[in-house]
Amino acid sequence: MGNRQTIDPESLHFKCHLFIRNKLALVGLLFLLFVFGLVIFGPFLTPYDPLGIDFSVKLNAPSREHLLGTDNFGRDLMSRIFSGARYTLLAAFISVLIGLFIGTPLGVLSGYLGRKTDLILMRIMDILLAFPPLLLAMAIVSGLGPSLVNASIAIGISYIPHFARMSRSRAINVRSMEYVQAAVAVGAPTVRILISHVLPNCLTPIIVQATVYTGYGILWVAGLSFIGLGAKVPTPEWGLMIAEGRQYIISGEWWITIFPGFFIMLGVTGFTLIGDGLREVLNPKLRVH
Amino acid sequence: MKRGGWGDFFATSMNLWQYILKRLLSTIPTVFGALVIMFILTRILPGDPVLMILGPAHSSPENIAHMRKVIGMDQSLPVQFLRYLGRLVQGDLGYSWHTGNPVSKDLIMRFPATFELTTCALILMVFFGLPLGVIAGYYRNRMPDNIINGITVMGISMPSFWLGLLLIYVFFFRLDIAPPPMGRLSAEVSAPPVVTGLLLIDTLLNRNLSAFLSTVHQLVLPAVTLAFFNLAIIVRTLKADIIDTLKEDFIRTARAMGLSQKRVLFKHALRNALLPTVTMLGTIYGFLLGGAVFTEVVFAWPGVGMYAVESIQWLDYAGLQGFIIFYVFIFTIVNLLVDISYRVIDPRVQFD
Repeated sequence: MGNRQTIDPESLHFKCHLFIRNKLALVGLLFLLFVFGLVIFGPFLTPYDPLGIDFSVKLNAPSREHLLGTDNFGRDLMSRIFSGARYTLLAAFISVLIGLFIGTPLGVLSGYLGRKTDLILMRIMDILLAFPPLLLAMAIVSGLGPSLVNASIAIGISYIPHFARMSRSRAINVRSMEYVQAAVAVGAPTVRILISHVLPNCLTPIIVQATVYTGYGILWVAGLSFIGLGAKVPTPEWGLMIAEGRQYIISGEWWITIFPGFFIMLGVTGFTLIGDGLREVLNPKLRVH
Repeated sequence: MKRGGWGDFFATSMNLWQYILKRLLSTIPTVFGALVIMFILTRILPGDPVLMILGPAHSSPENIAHMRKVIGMDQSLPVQFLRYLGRLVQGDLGYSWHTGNPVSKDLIMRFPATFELTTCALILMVFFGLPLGVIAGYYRNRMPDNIINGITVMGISMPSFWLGLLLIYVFFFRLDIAPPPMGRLSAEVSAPPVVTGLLLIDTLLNRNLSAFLSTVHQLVLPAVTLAFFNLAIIVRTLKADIIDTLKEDFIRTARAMGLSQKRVLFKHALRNALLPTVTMLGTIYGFLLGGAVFTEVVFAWPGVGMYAVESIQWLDYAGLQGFIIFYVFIFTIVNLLVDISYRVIDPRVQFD
């Protein structure tokens, strides 16, 4: 008695401890560090020019000279994948940032103000939600024209209602809390209440959602590029690389498609696992002791 | 009041009809909003559609003015929108210039292929998803749950088109047990006369066993690809519901009465946990339709998704937008049907 150390379940130290104990999240962190390494240093690690065409080595299987093989133009796949990390990852980030920075304020406003604002905003969000993300992206890209930037804008717009809904439900919860009521009572301006009281309380689920959605963003970016609505040739975007190598799979040149897909998977798994880990750490109800 | 009489029946069915009507009305703003978005997007299209139709050789000012009048672009935007709606109501989605057919005709011709693929994928998902979800819920946080979790995380982490290509490489190129990924029917088999458009049914109606087997053979890989990507949704939803249901009193009672673990799980728990999963079916079908776009491209499956991608490649925006409107339409109908059947299956559920 009295000797037992008490642990504050909300302390940062304890949360870090939980996160490290979660082996899957650690694996995810490793994947992500690797992928981030590629985003930052990728173009400096490439042994060959990612766009350099050399027909004398076309469709070479992985070998000592070309560790991941070459494609139908004789371009080195490792160089292309490494320097392509930027395109896929950055497009995914941009889409999440768009969803986050437009969706969250809308949701917070909607939840906090309620009434007509809420009704109108949520109706608009419902319409956006009725479009599955792929369709919305197709519609937007068909309007703006296909490019990687437009693809990430399209994905970002399809994320807006998701972030708005999440922050709205939190804002509704917080609205009736005593400390918010107190702030209202002392006459704090609404904008300040929103920024210093309501918004911080929405952050936890939003961080988790942003992490997971970045992972999905990679899938969407690659997918849109695959069907011709994203990056254009000869950009070494991962989804586009799979599309370019697609026809060679039936003649057995597997490396052109399999390696880029493998890196996509690495990135998506990384974000998904980290998202799951964060969810557990940040939400005490899900913890298993 | 006496219960169970005809009056009661009519009262219930009246409520049902009212509900259906209400539910129908509630889809109107959504569909309308979707159409407005589509319309606005067609008008901010880069490039003048008139110039695109005429081509540079015929773009004299008189020709342009004439063409503008012919396709109604000399009118104000609201008038144009009303005309656009009018055409839509008549099922006119414009002409696809890469096939030369009306878009609506193209879509209707190709939808059975997509329907067959997505339905088979849905059946596969339910067939594998239900037991996996129940097992994951029962063994929560233990080995089987972790394995199932790993499988589903893998499913959502890999691009479905990549999985399709991987399967083609392994089962067609390496093992040579899958047919070449070229559409719905092997080239050596003649297609049966079109009755429903669904080859699985048409071949049987025609008593053509070899064509039926070829259809099944062609369907396996694309259906597995499509199902695997979406398996996670069904497993995760069901798992959460099973975990909740297993805490209920009636499960404890069933166990106390000495029923076998299997019976308790698959009979009592599954049945009660299933309803929330059923409500997800509409959303899941929407995901399947979207995923079909990628799967169809990989397997050269001549469905509506493939049509959309071809339209993109030909810069045929009428085809693409027709597909989008078609999709929103199908998606709305499926969700409507799911909601109504949910209400019919479980009359306890009251909707407001």
